[in-house]
Amino acid sequence: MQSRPAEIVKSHQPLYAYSIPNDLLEILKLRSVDAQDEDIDAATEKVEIEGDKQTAVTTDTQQRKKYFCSTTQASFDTIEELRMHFHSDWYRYCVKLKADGRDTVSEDGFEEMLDDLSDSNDEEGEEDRLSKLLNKQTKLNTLSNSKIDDDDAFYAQKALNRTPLVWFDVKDDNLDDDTPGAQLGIYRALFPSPTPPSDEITNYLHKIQLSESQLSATESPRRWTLIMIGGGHFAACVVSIVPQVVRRNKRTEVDIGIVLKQKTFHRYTTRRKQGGAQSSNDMAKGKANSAGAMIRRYNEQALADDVRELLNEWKEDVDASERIFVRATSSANRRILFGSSNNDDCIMKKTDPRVRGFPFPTRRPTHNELIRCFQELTKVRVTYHTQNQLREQDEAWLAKVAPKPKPVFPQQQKTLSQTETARKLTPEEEEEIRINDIKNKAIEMTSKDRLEALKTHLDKNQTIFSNLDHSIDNDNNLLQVASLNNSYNIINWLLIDKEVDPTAHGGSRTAYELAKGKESRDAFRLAMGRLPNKWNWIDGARVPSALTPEQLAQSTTSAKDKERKKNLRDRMKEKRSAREEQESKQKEEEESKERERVSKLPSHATTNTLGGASNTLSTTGLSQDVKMKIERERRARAAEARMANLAKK
Amino acid sequence: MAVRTAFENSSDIGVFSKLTNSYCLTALGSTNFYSSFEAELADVIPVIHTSIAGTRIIGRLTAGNKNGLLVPSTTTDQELQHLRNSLPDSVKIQRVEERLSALGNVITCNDYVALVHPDIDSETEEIIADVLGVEVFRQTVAENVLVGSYCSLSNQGGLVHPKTSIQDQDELSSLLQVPLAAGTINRGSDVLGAGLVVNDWIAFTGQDTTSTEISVIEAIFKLQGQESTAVVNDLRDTIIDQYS
Repeated sequence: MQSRPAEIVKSHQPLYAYSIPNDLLEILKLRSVDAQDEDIDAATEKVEIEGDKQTAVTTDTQQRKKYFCSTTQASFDTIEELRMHFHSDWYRYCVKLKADGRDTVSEDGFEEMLDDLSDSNDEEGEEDRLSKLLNKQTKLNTLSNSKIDDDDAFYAQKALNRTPLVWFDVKDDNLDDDTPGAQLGIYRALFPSPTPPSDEITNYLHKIQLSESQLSATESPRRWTLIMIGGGHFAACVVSIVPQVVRRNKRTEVDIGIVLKQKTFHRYTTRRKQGGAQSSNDMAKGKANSAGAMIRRYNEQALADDVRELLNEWKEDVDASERIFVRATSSANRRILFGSSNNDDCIMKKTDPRVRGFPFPTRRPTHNELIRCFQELTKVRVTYHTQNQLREQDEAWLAKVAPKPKPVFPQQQKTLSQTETARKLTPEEEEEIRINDIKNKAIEMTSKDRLEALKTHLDKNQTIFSNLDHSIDNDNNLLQVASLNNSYNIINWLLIDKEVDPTAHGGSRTAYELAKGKESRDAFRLAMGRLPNKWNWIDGARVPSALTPEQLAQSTTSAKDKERKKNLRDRMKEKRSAREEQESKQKEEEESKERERVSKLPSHATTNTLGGASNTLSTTGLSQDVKMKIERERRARAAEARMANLAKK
Repeated sequence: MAVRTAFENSSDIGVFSKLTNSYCLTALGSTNFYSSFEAELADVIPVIHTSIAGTRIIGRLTAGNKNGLLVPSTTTDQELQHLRNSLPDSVKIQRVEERLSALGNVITCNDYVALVHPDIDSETEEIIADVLGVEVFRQTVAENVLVGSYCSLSNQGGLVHPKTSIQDQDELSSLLQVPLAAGTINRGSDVLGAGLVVNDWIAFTGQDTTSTEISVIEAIFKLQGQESTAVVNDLRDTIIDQYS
């Protein structure tokens, strides 16, 4: 009977990643969760191809003309052309992209974007196109279902799905779902990054196995470099990955990880009790002047120098290493090993494809810890799970790393749906909306008694307001709207200058009956006095009696006089009687109230403004349209105030 | 000529002053600071003591050249009035409603060209062009959007952030049509706008500025009638001075 694969695995344990027996290697197959990586790898390949294309394009433009724009890669023959280019929308857009750290677009790409934009609305001028494009893009970016976001999420998700171990199934044809098979786990760090697709990964595993000649060779074995640095401790070693047979106490043993070179040292750099490096404390709080701080600062520098020197000594070994494992969590420590960007005296590069981090937690950097990590990295994990168990585990893992659905803001949905409906409208409907807008504006002006504004508005839209007797708001015409809102100036103007019919009534009541205040009613009566025969005032318009300006003036002055005198008397009386007791009481009350009010208010509502706050109403943070609107309102009000002043004079 | 000075022990004098060919603004406070400007400029252009929005960081809040002065919207009416009274009549002054209110950080200009932050409002751009009488370019300096902080300009030359690539320097120089150099101020500081104020005949630098930095400044801004090639000889002299 043929031996079961699981048996084969068991017979070979413990397994070493660089000497997996051939019979086992033949029957290994990549497991499914990892197999999903195929998509991402295919995608990255595609990106690479596109990248090649791009470089091809740039090599084309390498035949540069004299003047060159480094942002857009465009070139020009004359300085004037270049200067013109700096004023172009394309350039401005690219500068913004560059400032955001994004890739710039080509001129054609930019034109396409603009064309897409102008499809929806092409009334606006050239000037606004850029800001519009930018607005649109920010909107798109915030919407969760934008395409770019999707891609990002896809890749992020793929990256999350990666486990530190790559799992292989041991192939077994006559295995059902409930009998345990065998799975081998090897650290992903042993494979190239990004992990190759599934068919190549097994080939790669074949390739990295130690050959016979390598096993027996004594000179320059294959090796790794392991480096750990942190908290003033440093440990590094160069390890041969070729296992060696040694005799110990008359027994032969296979020794894994022969150390070729090793060095550890320690310097006092971390602050006792507070913790953290001296340099980070210096950065955060300024230079401390204590003796301890001086010593630590000196030691940090000395440690960095020692490490650099050591690595330079080991240069040959490090260069010959297949993998370099590094643990250096703080940026200061990474700088010791890799140097800063413009410092080239380091033998290692951050971008070196051999450099890996340890894919598991490590303890204090010591030699023993390095050896433990080496053994951990090269050990092959073996599990015996059934297919069903594996499937469950996969699902649990995927569910754990699945992205949480982003909350969609209701406001955005609304604006989206609004724009959608707006797009469906036919020209007739749009015209209708426009007319409604104009009418609503007129109604608003009427209700606020803004006569001058209304006059110009009506003049501008004469076609719509050709007959003022027609109703514009439900059943009411302009006159009725005015009297409903006590806009007596407009009533006066409508009746006398425009001769609007006061007898018309939409509902059961005439305009006069709708009037809200005495001023409006007086306006009707004045008009009746001026044009007594024009309309059937008493029966039709239901205005009770006519009024002349003189009568009006008399009545108002006498009424006012009376009122004033009465008020004065009342006030004097009240004052005298209530002053003494009220004053004391009020003071107390007010004080307590004020105290309460201030304590309740949030701090920003009190007058804690920074110096030089402007006295104008702040419009910052509002959109351009709203700003314009507010500004227009403000100006209109100011103009009216001026007109009123003039009229008084 | 380049003069070293300090504002209350701070070398960032560009924060506390604004120098153009037709006026100079200094912050309230340090009298020594004011008098060092006064001593050099008093006969030629007005030196004006002022605050902007009640603060002393006037150099970072304002932008201007010989034609005009732009102040942020936070400037008070009194300050504006005071500036109007003190500035020459030919200088236009305008309050700007701009979201990026530290105008000195986002605008750098000489009398003909202005470089501005790429995100600046198009309305502000027009105001800059009108009031300062300049052509406006949206640019970055060494990948930095704060062009006013990392660049210092006059009609003679300009000093830009030390990490500006040669290509970018060429591009900027062809825009500005003046020679540019990459350099530092205040013993290696890269915020040139904060360490240096300059016009066509004089420069003021922070107290920490080294003689090497001064000689680069004098050469590029042509403050001693030097040719730009003289910089090599001059530099050598100062270096020998320092280390002999």
